[in-house]
Amino acid sequence: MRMMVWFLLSCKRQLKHVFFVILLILMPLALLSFQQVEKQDSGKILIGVFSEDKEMVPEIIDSLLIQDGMFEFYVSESEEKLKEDVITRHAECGFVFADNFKQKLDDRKFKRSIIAYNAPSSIMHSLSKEVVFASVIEVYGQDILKQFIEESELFEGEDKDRLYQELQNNYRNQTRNGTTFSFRYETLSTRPIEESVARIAFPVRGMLAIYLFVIGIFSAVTLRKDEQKGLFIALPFGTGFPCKLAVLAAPVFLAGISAWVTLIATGNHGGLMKELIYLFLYMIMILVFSYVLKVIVRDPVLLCGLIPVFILASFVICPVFFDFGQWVPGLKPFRYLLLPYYYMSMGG
Amino acid sequence: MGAYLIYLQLELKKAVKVLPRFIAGAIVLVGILGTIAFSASKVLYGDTVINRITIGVVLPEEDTVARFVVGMLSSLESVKSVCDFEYTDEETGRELMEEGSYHGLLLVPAGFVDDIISGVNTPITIVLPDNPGMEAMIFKELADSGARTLSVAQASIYAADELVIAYQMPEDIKKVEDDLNQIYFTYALPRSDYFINQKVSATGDVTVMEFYGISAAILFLLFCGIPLAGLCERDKPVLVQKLGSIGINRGLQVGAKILSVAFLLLLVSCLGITGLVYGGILEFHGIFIAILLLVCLVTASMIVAVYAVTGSPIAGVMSLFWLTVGMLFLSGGLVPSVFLPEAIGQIKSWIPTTPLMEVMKSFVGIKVSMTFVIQSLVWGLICYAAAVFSRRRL
Repeated sequence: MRMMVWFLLSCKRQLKHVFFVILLILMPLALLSFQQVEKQDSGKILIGVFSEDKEMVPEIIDSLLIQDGMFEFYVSESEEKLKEDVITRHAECGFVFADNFKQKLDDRKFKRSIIAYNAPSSIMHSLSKEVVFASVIEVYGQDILKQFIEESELFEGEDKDRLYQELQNNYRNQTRNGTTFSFRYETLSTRPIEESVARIAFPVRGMLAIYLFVIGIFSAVTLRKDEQKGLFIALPFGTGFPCKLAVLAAPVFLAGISAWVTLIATGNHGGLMKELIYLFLYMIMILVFSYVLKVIVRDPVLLCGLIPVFILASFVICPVFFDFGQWVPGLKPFRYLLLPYYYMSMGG
Repeated sequence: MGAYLIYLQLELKKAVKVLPRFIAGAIVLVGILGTIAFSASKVLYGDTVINRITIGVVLPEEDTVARFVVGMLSSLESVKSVCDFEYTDEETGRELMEEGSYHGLLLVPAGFVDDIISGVNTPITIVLPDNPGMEAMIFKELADSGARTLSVAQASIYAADELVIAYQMPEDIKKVEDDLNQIYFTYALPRSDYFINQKVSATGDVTVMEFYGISAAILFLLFCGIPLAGLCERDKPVLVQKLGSIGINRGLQVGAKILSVAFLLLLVSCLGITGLVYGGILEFHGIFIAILLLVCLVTASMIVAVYAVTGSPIAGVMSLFWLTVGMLFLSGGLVPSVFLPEAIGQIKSWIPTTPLMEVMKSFVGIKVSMTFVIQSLVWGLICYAAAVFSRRRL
């Protein structure tokens, strides 16, 4: 009963701070708004193309323009404009085909025949080259058949033009009748993949896990300061520990409610009750961890100084944005010391 | 003036008192940031900053040929620079995908190679997560490009086989296929040779690694504000009044707080810079001192303003956490901005961390633009004004 009273009074103490309440309300609203902006975006990465070649390159460019992957190709009005687009980061990168591109392919002197403009901060230009090359080979594929007819000893003395015509017809039939190699995509729940987008969604679950972790540790700092001020001295024997836990739990509980609402609002959950249970378990873990940390690190200033360490360690080791553990394997065992890892594992 | 200097001295003394514990935490922070910088220096796919993509492969039982073909696929340069293939069964593979250990699952059908040879071509199913992330989309793009290239070669071979059969030369099928393969290999294998890379950059453009290093430095400075919650929390109203009565107005009080926080940030920054210069990562220039002063003052101003406006240490910590993460995310400092919604790019220029990051590019040899220096100073003044105004609410 005493513990419940202390808990309610501690909640009241936190709720008296107007900005604390504002932040609890703002958090789900801000993340939901951001999510709406994300949804409205096309999710494609812009890549520019240009060429003055009139022979085969327009067909390659047409093939690129209809691609439905994570890249959106567009035709630039000039090479200079394309460079400017890459510099200003309007386009991630750009490709300029040589004027006599087909001739270079026929002569097999195709080295360095496509200029790939990219900025120092471009990161997708290597992958986009694969897409460009696939379009080149798709369009030039029929001309390769011509080379084959010209070079093969098997058709000496035959009418090569007629042979090439027949081969072309066969080739077109083969590309249209679905007999060639392909991949079929589906999701885990056997839904088809709707579209390819190049967006990294804001990691709501990971960020909320770190946020609650920070609140827990800071709550321990406040608790330690309260202990130093003698707040718990007057308590009867045996009631100190539960009351301290109650004080520790109040901000974590309030932030936890806000976090739950955020997860529901943004759709980052596996079920309302399931998420509530995960959050509850996680908050218990935070309380235990924070209390033990407070007992070990008795200095509130030092305890507070550890908060950025835990934040950055959580960013780096519990993969929130990137998994640094795959480049520095020695970091991976440390994730078991960080609570956000367990919460992120709970949700899958 | 004398009274103000004594007050400033007292504020600095308060800062010095927390210094040992603050430095201890800052050193660990620098260590973690060094790890981030080291990790970011690993090139994975060109200059792409993405995680390695683990793909589960489910092969039909005892189909050694299919295993050989998949093995060949995984050894291709473009694939192996990004993907790791692991052989598994379908049930385990789906479980690992649900856990997030696999970014995709390749289900190779029985008789896969025989089907290719006979022209049946049962497609390989690629299972992606329900909400496919960046890695899954990149793998899909690679797979699609590879499939398009492969199907061109296949269509040609099938077309040539049809022709040879039509000309009553079935015994020459093998030769025809070998000849065509030879031609396709000539064009397809050296495909990176088609391209000549030309870097184009605006003044002030930096590499991915330099950008993340600068972003990490800003993150570090702002997060240093969290342990300073005690130093930055509001003074008691009676103290504010008394200071006011001896001529130290609210503006001067806030100024002293900013200077004491800036002093601490400057100390830890100097430690960090010294380490980087000594380690040969940065080359020291005199301008470092001026830039460091500017950045520390503006950051200190932001930190003091957050605590002053929010009014309580816990609200200040929460705000500092979300503002730091939010601002850096919107500036493209946490995730490459190419992956962010286009609308976010328009907000970038209105975020205080953006001019700070531009100014810090001087550490990597980029000339400082006065525009960004002025913008940083303006943000510093705005935060100063916000902190002073909040004090007026007492």
